[in-house]
Amino acid sequence: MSASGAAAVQAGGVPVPVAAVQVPAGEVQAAAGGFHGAQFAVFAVLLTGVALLGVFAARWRRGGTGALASLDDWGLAGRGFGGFVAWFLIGGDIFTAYTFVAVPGAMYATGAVSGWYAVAYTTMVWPVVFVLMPRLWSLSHRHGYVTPADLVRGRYGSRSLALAVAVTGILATMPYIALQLVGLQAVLEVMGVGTGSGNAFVRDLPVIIAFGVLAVCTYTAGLRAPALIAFAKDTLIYLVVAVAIIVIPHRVGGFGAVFDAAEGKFDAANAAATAAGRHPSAVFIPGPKDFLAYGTLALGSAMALFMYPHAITGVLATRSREVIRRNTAVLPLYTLLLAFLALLGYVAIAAGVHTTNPRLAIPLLFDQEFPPWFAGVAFTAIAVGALVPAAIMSIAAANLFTRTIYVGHLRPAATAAEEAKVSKIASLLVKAGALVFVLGLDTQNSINLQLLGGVWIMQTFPAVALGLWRPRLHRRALLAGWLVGMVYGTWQAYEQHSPLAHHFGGSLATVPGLGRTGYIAVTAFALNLAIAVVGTVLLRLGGVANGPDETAAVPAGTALPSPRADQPEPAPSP
Amino acid sequence: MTKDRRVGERPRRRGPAHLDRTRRGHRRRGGGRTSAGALLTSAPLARVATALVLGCQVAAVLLVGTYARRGPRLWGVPFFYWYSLMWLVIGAAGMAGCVWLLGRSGTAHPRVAVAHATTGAQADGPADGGPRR
Repeated sequence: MSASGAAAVQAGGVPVPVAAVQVPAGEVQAAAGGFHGAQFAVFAVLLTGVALLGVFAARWRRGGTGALASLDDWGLAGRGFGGFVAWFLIGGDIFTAYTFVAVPGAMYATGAVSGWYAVAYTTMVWPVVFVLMPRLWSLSHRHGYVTPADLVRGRYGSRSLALAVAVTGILATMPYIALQLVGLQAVLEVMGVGTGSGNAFVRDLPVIIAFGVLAVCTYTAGLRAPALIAFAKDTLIYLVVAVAIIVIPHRVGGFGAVFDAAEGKFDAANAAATAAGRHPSAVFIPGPKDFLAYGTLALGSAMALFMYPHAITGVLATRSREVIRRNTAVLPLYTLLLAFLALLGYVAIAAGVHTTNPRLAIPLLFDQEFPPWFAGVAFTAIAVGALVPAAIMSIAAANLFTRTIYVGHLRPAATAAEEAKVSKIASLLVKAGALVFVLGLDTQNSINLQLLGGVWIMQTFPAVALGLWRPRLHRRALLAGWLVGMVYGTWQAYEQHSPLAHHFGGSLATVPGLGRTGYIAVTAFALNLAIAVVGTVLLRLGGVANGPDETAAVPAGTALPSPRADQPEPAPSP
Repeated sequence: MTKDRRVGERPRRRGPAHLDRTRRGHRRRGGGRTSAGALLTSAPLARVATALVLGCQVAAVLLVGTYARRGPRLWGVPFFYWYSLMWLVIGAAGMAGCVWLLGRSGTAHPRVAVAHATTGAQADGPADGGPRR
């Protein structure tokens, strides 16, 4: 899940990321205190079980024998998942550990606009999926596309546009993988693992081991590993959240008391901020000034979510388009899960959890309210929740690299087996890179980059999503729009200051001409789309030919009727 | 591997595609709009209804001003929060309805039946011919 999970928005239009309030993981120990043996024992046993599941995955649902020697088989698990597996896979793919830690953390720290918008956007994302993804599946299935960049290459006959989409996808996914490690670290930190050690390597050893096991599973089993582990992950997480949402609010006096406590805390925090000459930052119910911010954050994130390569990988691994469409009616259950988790951020306020690092709010709440063994189960759920998406993201990024950069530009004659091999190695490198990034640099860098990633990935929407129907936009206009959107979005994000971050202070900026703040990705997207459309008209008037459309060529005369070209697309442009 | 999968899938796909053909044929022959039953199976109508249902859901969530209020509370939950969740449930039900409607009218594979060319040519004719009219 995405885009600006971490990015927070503020009342009064001053964007401040939650991140900015956070302290690098590893430095906040006040509330956690000491090593929790019982929790860690349960955690270690369950995680070992999950690792065994991952190793077993290589043999799961295998039709043939031998190594997974094609990208379809390794990277898309043979494109054979039915509704049940797909539900777990897609849900487990986009609702990540980082989400489970950051969204309640944002609720805990600043309330509705930065936290609850995630519920609004994951409500709106399903109509978007309903419209876009069956069509994407069909085109990809028919032509053997593995990544969105493949689709763009085939649809527009443009290698440079495909390269732009692939590079954007990889750039947006990498920090996202890194952030999964941040989620993992938060849990380990609360358990007190390695915090007593001054040696950085010893402290990070659990994360390194977990990621090493994951790398091996993914290398041997491909997408099957996260798909199988997703069962374990989501069973655990549903169990934990169900117990938490029933038991804990009851203990602190019911939901009425929970919301009152949150409102009280935010009122006090805003009053203190105003007294100190800062903008009030907490929002219990969005005011008129926040409507545009809340709406654009929700809409932009919903449109961007399924442009992420890992989300598309989950979709393409399904058996038929009907599996995807039917799933949109059941996948909202994950949104409900996220909503409950978000509310647990308020519950943490009512339960008296105190931390300066909002990411620790939920782990600390579990630590405080659950018996040690069940807290161990809860922490395993979050940790496995980090591994599943990280695996799928690394596969998706590796596929993008292999298909577009390696085969598309370096070795066009590569065989299917060679593609699979390159992709396997690339997935290892991607994970190693994320590990080094998180352990070696300040966590803030990952959060900044992930915020930017949301803005960037949105710029591939015109090429990928609008490319699904006719009439096609012109490839050169699309490339120009993409470039402008990327530059504008990056520049705007860079310009955002907050009290604690000098640059990349948030994902909101004043929208030119409206005078209110809105999500940068949406403003950049509007610019991008305008350039693409106007450019297409101009290029067409000028008689510049568009690239060849490989998808139109197959059965002669079956060109799709244009009157229906834009019909089934109500969701993205309400 | 791929071979296996296809063998397993063929009957599954042939089903809807085959139904498409008879339904579409029926609609065209009978004029299609004479009874409520025919209306329900009308492909363009199903698509318009789907667009409306999905559009309503997105619009309802986007119009933040219509629900950014504290009260009335439901089980202690402020209006803003429970109203968002209500649209999640409505949306899920709506999408289930859309799946059903599109399946009934045989537009579950709108024009993309071509995409199933890999599984056999029988899918191409009806699903692609229908909408072109």
